[in-house]
Amino acid sequence: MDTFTTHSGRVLHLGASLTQQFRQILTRYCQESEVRYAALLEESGTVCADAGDASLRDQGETAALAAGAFAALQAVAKRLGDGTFEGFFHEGKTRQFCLTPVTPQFLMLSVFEAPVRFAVVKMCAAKTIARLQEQIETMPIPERGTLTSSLPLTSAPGDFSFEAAALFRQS
Amino acid sequence: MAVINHDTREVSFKLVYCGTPMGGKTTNLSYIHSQIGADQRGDLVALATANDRTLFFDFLPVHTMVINGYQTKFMLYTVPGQVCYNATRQMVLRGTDGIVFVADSQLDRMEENVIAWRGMVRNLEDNGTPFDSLPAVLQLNKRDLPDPAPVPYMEYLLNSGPRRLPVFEAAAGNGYNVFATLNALAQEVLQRFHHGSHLATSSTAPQPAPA
Repeated sequence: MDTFTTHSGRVLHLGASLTQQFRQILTRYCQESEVRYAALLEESGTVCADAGDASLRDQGETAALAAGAFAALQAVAKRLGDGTFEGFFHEGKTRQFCLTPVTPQFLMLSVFEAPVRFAVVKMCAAKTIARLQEQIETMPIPERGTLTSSLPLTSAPGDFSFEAAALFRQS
Repeated sequence: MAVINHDTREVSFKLVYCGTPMGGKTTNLSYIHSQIGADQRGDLVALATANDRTLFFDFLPVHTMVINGYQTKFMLYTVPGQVCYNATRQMVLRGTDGIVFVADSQLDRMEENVIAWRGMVRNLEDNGTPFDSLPAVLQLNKRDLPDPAPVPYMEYLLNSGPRRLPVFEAAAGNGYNVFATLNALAQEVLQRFHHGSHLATSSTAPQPAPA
């Protein structure tokens, strides 16, 4: 299934080939700009696809913090009278990163280090964002109700139940 | 919002712990972090002040069972409790799939409980996700302290509307009912997800643990 939607059912549905397309775009971006790691994040802090140095991938802590920082700075900009937030750039001594909006719901994290220059990253990021937007916009948005049923959580429909204790157990 | 990734075969949900300032939200996450095996969780990220007051949010990713080949992940967040951080709370509540409201059982904290409750409901409304549309549980925390407020009184204050939440008496400091709370919410989130609707009836709600 190659669809995504986010609204009526409040489910973001990422098909396997859509994710692969995102990853291809991000891989190309890493090659063109020499960015070390790039990730497409959803605004609630989930990694949708990533590429580059796998050692920078984690359990989601970085994505959650990045999405939080982005939302916080966006809110600050709005409160200070700037309704158009173009993201932000951190210039560290050894490593730099930037967060740029892709759509109102998605953002892109780029991690790079010297001698890669921010101007080059910014230029390549603009092209990449256009490619990602194109993918996102061309995806059909299915009707509400068709989303969750495509993921069979149980082999016996209507017989779905969990023992509460089975979800999380104390060690 | 639930995210299904067919490529990595993961389903992830965002659960947010809300409630009174100093009510025990971070303590809940710390206890979960300390008790779940390292292979089932990530790092506990706490953005706090020097006095250990939550400044932005705490975050803990945890994994649970594989369902038909899909790894289920829950991203646990807390919000800062202090009144001045309302904008931050609203931001963290964005896209949540479920709520734990952590109420403080100390008698002198009842007014703050009610204020925090109303603020949470308003923030969710402002985010376009009405509270009644979300799975939620009520945790009455700090039951281990002397002279806690009677449960019926707290229920009258926080849980007397048309929608009755599952209630858990808890003592997050020693872990009492911390996992019962989390499991109840996770269970309801998964049930609603499976049924493809966020308007589940009370009959699908898990039963609270015995007090």
